[in-house]
Amino acid sequence: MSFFDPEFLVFYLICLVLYYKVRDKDQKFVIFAASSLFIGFISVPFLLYTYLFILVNYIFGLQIKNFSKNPKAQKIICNSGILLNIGSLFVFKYLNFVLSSVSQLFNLFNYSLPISAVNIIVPVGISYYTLQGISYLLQVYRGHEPAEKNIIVFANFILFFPKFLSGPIELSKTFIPQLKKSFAFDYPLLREGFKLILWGAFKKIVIADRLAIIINGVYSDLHSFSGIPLWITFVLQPLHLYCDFSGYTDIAIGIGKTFGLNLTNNFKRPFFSTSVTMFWQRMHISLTFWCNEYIFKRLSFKLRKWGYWAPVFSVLITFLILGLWHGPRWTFIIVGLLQGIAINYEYFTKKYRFAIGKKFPPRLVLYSSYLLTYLFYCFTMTFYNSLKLGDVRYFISNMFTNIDFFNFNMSIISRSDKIIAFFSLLLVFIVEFRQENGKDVFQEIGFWPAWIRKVCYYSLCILIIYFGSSMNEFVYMKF
Amino acid sequence: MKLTFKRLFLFFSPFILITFLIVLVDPYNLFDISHLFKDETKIMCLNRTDATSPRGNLLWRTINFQRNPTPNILLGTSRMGEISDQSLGKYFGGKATNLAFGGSNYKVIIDLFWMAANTTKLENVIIQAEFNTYNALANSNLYEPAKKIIDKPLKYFLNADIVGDTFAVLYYSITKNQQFVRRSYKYKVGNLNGTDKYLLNGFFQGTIYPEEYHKELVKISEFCRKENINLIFFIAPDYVEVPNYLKNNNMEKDYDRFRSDIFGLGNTIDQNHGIPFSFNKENYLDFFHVKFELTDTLLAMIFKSDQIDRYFKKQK
Repeated sequence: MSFFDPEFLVFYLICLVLYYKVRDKDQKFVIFAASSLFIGFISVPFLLYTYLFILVNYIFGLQIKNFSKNPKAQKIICNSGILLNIGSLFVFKYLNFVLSSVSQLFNLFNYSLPISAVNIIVPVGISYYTLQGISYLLQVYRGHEPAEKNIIVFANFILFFPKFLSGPIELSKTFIPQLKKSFAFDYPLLREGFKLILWGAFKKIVIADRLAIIINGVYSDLHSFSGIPLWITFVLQPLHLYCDFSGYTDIAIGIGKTFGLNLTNNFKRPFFSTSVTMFWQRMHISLTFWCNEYIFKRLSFKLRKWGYWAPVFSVLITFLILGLWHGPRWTFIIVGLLQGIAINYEYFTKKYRFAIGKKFPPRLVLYSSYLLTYLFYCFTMTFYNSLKLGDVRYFISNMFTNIDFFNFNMSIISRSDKIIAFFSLLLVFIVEFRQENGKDVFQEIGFWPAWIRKVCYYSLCILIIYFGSSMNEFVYMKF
Repeated sequence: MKLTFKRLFLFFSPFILITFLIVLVDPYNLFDISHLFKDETKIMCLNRTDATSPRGNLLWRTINFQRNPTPNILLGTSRMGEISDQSLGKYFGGKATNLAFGGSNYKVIIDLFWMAANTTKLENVIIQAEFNTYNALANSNLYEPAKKIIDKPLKYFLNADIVGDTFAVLYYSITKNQQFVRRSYKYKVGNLNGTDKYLLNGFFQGTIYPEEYHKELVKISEFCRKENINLIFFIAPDYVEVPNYLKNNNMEKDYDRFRSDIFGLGNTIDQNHGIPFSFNKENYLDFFHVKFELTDTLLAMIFKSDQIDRYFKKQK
């Protein structure tokens, strides 16, 4: 069941009515039942596996607390829990990749290993809830928060259906306390939630799904393209990913709000970043925060004797893991490494870059920084969207061949789709530009005359309902 | 909360009304419940422009075929699109469906063949093969949107084109405005000596050999042999300027390859080889389309008496 299935709409409205109809203390059971149903609709075995995951992490959390007077035992329990989480993620997601890489390595020396791929289906959402489980155990172990005693509350922390498939990766310290509260029906909050759902759906099915026609069309038949179509794809791929993923997040946050729950915002206008470092403070925030908190800081501290090189190495490792988190592919690893290298480069050249920047008008520096950061991300996205390194080589080298501005074939997308995508992107740009300048457009709309407001809402609804594209699955559901 | 649901209902009431109108008009007879509007009106409206005609015809005829499958079908492009099911049936000697459309290409033909083969037991299939779309770049897929609507009827209500067609049927039924339904290429007067010559560049420039289409056609050919289905390829006559153009632009080898590919697939009736018909410009609307009143002549070419017994199973 996806957010755009009509069944989901019915399911969601029933859950919402039930949630506010039941007694306050029963609201958590509604969330638990709704989330279980949602995952069960996708796959019952996945649901059972998630239950097992919840049970194991719940028990480990309680045991860490029970052994609070025995730090050694506590550490063993915490590490065992983390190892179990990482181990299960490894088996489901990376085992085949490691096996095939080892086999290929031996093949280089003309030695074939009797290894074959293991037939495993990766449970949906595993990359997200595994990180939540690990952070929970570490928080309890560090004494930053108590172990959760109520298993239903803990289960909701993992299962809550709007965020289950693609995050945001919630932290227990902010999300569990909300799950313990009960919420009375609040119309303004509901309206705010619906606005976000509308905006997210617009970004996903009006823009991202249209851009996906180009991105998927080009990458699926890459060798038929060269010159301008590759440049167009190059420039559009970050916008496609952003509209897809931030669209999902907005819908998830919007649904959360209608239940009275605040989910973490995953994006803060990343394309208005003046550096790669800043970009990663604004893009997929819940994941980068997690990596910063539990990998970078931990590693930097452990390697503190290395002095200057500790953060350099830690950044590289952190981004390598961040790349690998997306999936078992060399191209993802390279994406991570490239980000790590860029951040280190920015760190080392900060002084010189500032000195050069001072010689130019500030606005020119600002906009060229936006542009350079964006183009760098475009470049790394080529790795992200390619299955093989050979595809990246083809893509980049053929961008510079057969360049003909007046005669190029981009017939994979219709003229009307191009127009709709262009004006919709322009709208997103205007909204985000205003937000970047401190104006909250969604708040502002509230002060507009009612008829203008209605025209805006109806236009969005018409675009979503009648001009929505093919409704592909969300990109980040794959991870 | 009741007030909120009331507000939501009021907000979405225009969309509910549109949904109701779609059910009422049912521009493609998907549900076949409401018969308030005549089929002729719906067909006229779906043919109202060059943009609506290809997708409209495809959806209309696919729905119709799935509801009333026939053992005989014709697959092809706009050249054969005007042939009525009745004319086709007369030649076949049994029920037949014309699944040839404007805007079609080999991708659509292949998809429609499998749709038809999965719907019913086929007996006779004619595929109109043409060189001008035998091109890997001729890959727009008209069938996919129709398939989505047929597979998930809910999409019928969530599609701007269907909403447009619904209002078109309503508008035409009320106003009877003939201009509204006569904006399609069907009503264009041909100009074989003038600007249309430049159109040939558009058809033949940037041609890539369609390896995938050929493979798929081979699969179809093998399937028909295995299932004992008569499969005939028909190469319709282009106006004489087309072979001249191919000659002047060194494309004869490409054409020969196309011809040998098609002949290699099975029984082929080739009427594109200097027949007197193709020299008379009075027969043509443009370089590829014979005048609509003459499209049955193409059928006659296929069903010539010496070939009919050789190739077709006549229905009893």
